[in-house]
Amino acid sequence: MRITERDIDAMALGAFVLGSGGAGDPYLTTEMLRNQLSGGRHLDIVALDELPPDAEVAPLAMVGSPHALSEKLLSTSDIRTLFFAEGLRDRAPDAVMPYELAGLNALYPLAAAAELGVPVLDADFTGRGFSSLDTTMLGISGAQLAEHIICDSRGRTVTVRTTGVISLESLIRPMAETMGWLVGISTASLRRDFLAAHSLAGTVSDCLAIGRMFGTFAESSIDAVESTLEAAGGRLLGSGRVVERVSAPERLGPRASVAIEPDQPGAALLRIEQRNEFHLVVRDGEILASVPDIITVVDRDTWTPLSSEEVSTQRDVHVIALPAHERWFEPTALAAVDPRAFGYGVDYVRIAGLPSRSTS
Amino acid sequence: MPGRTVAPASVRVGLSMSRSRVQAVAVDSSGLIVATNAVDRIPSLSESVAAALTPLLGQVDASAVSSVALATSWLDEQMHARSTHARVGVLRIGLTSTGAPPLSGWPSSLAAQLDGPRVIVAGGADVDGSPLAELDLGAVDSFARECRGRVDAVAISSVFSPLSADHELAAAERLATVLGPVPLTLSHTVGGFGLLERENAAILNASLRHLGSELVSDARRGLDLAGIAAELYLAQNDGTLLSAEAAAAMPVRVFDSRLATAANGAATDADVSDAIVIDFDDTLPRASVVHSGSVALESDRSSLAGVRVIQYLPRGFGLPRSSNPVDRLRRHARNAPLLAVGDLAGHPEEGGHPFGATVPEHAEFASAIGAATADVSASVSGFIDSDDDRDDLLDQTRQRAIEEAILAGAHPSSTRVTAVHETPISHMVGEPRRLVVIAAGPPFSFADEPMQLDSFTQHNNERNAP
Repeated sequence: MRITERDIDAMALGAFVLGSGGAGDPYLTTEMLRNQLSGGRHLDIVALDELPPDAEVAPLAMVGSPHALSEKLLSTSDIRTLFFAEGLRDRAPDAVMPYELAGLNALYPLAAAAELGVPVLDADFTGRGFSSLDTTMLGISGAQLAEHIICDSRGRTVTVRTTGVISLESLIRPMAETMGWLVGISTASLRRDFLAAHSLAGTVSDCLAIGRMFGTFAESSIDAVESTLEAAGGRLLGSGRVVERVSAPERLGPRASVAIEPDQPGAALLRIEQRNEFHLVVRDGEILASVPDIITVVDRDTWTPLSSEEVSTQRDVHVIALPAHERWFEPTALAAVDPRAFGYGVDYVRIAGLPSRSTS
Repeated sequence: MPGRTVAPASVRVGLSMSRSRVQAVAVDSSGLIVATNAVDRIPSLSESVAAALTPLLGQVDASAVSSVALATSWLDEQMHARSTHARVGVLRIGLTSTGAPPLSGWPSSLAAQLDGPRVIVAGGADVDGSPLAELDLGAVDSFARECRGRVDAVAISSVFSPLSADHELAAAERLATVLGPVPLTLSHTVGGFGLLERENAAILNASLRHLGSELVSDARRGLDLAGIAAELYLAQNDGTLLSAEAAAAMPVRVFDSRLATAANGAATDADVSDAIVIDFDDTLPRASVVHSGSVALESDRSSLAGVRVIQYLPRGFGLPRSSNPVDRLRRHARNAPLLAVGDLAGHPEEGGHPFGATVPEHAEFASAIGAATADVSASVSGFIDSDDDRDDLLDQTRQRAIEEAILAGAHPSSTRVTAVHETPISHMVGEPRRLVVIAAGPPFSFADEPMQLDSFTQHNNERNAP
């Protein structure tokens, strides 16, 4: 697949949806990609089997706070530092790939690939936004890499070599804090057999498809939106105005509960539980959607996604759920990302109104 | 030598200027509308203002006028109407940001108009306010030389300048030495977190500086022609006021204020606290929402002239003008009345208003009423990164907001904090928060206390100096 400047807005919209309220506003990385692809340039998105058998791939992500990113933005020199990763790689990788395909981290590797002139592998390790570096296909399957490089805005780097099982999140996050709350991260170069086993294939294309789908909603009837979402395995869970937001500070972001009042007088409130990302949608005690499925809250008029911070009182919104990648429903994976893993005393529930998930 | 004592003035005058009409109202201290007048706009801005004001003085003594506030979309209109545009140089400080250079995301036609040198140089602050790098003064100097004779204004931005403005100030000093009187806009004076958005507002502001000065001096000449010696204020995009001096330096804040003043004035005129207000000016109508007596504002992903900024703008400001602007706003105030105001509100099509809206008594004057009755306000953004110094920082930010509001023209004795917005920041430990504090007060007037005429004259002479 080849993407051009015309695909950028849809890619960004898909990335925002997949953020599930978190993973950062893709605005900055979108503009970065737009600068790269202006003037008719293009970017190749390739499947694993389109790469040469001995190909090496570098995953890329940003770790830190959106607050730091909004001011320091991103530098093109950090990208080269991470890509060539002196001391970590024997040679330049053949492609880059997103580590977490959501929010700003979906567009960042694309902009990097355009800057470097290499293709992007159509895969990642999460298929949606998760705040922790441990909640990835690598983290849950014990395939965490032994070598990582991080690079901050001043061009300072740290190379980390680990043995045994150490939480990457607990290791890297304090480094990001020390380095000004914003670092780029990459791993040792990855080979095709490793990627075939541990990455989620096709997620970049999926992101673009989701963005294209959401891009039609502002001009569609509600009925058309509902049937489009259902055809994609998702649901429009409800619409209304945010009438209450209660939040309690907590380490790594406030936990918040948001109440949405539907248009019909007397109808039950829709409640969303969130911390960095949206985790649960509940109505009258019934769970309508739950993590790891992707819960997206969009502006009622424009159908543009809102971050979990932006869902404030008086906002008029739609609440939408889309299914997460099927590999998140394998038992060990689900245990790491179900509502209990995020501190809610309930099990994962399939998106309301959809047939129950087959256990094949 | 003691001067003559002037009787306290108590009437506030509001002016609203659209493309085709100028409205003026006089409101007394009890909020009563004591005079109105509307005229067709003519090519001279000063004469249009004078023509709107002069007939008011048959009903109100000129010396009784304490302030005149002008709401207009003139800058928006002129930015599009003029064939020549200000050339703007852009200096950004902070090499961490090269991935999204200045003007990223701008409409290409607007970006092309600016036509000045743009560079990114080393410097800026980190998330804790400490320097990211030393300011590269050599690069600042060569940018300054490049700008000489090629720019009409310069915008300067710097990474985390709301936390430390040192590098913006140092660069401004160097630029002033080389470029002389070329107006500079420093991004920390525009405020708000988000380098690209703050810089965008600073660039827009720089591009509007000459138009802003023209607007203010022409409006003042209009007051002089009408024989009114009161202070001039301009309405900001959010409907509050700014002194004429401050507006000339910060024209981006008064880019298009008529939607906000029309909303506030409509609610005042109809004596309601919640409403959806449709403003029928001389083009397609716009709509906005009034909550608890003042226009509902939004700052998320706001844009001016198609450029993303962080500014408080009326809800509805960003919606395209349309023949039916109410649809999208109706849900925001389900049971609130619909009010139709503006130049054309009094002349609905046959069969009444298409939206079933109520037309308040002074519908044509809503925007002028909103300007006449508005407070002066200013906002200050801050950052709280741990609980230890939270109270101190909040107090300091509140104090700074009050000082800024007074500098913007608010009366010192009655300026108070009107809103504190705290936004928790995700993915950082220690519960840090972004803080926006807004302070407001009624316009300062020399006439509020008995005063000496000679100091008043001296003030006027300074004010009118070229």
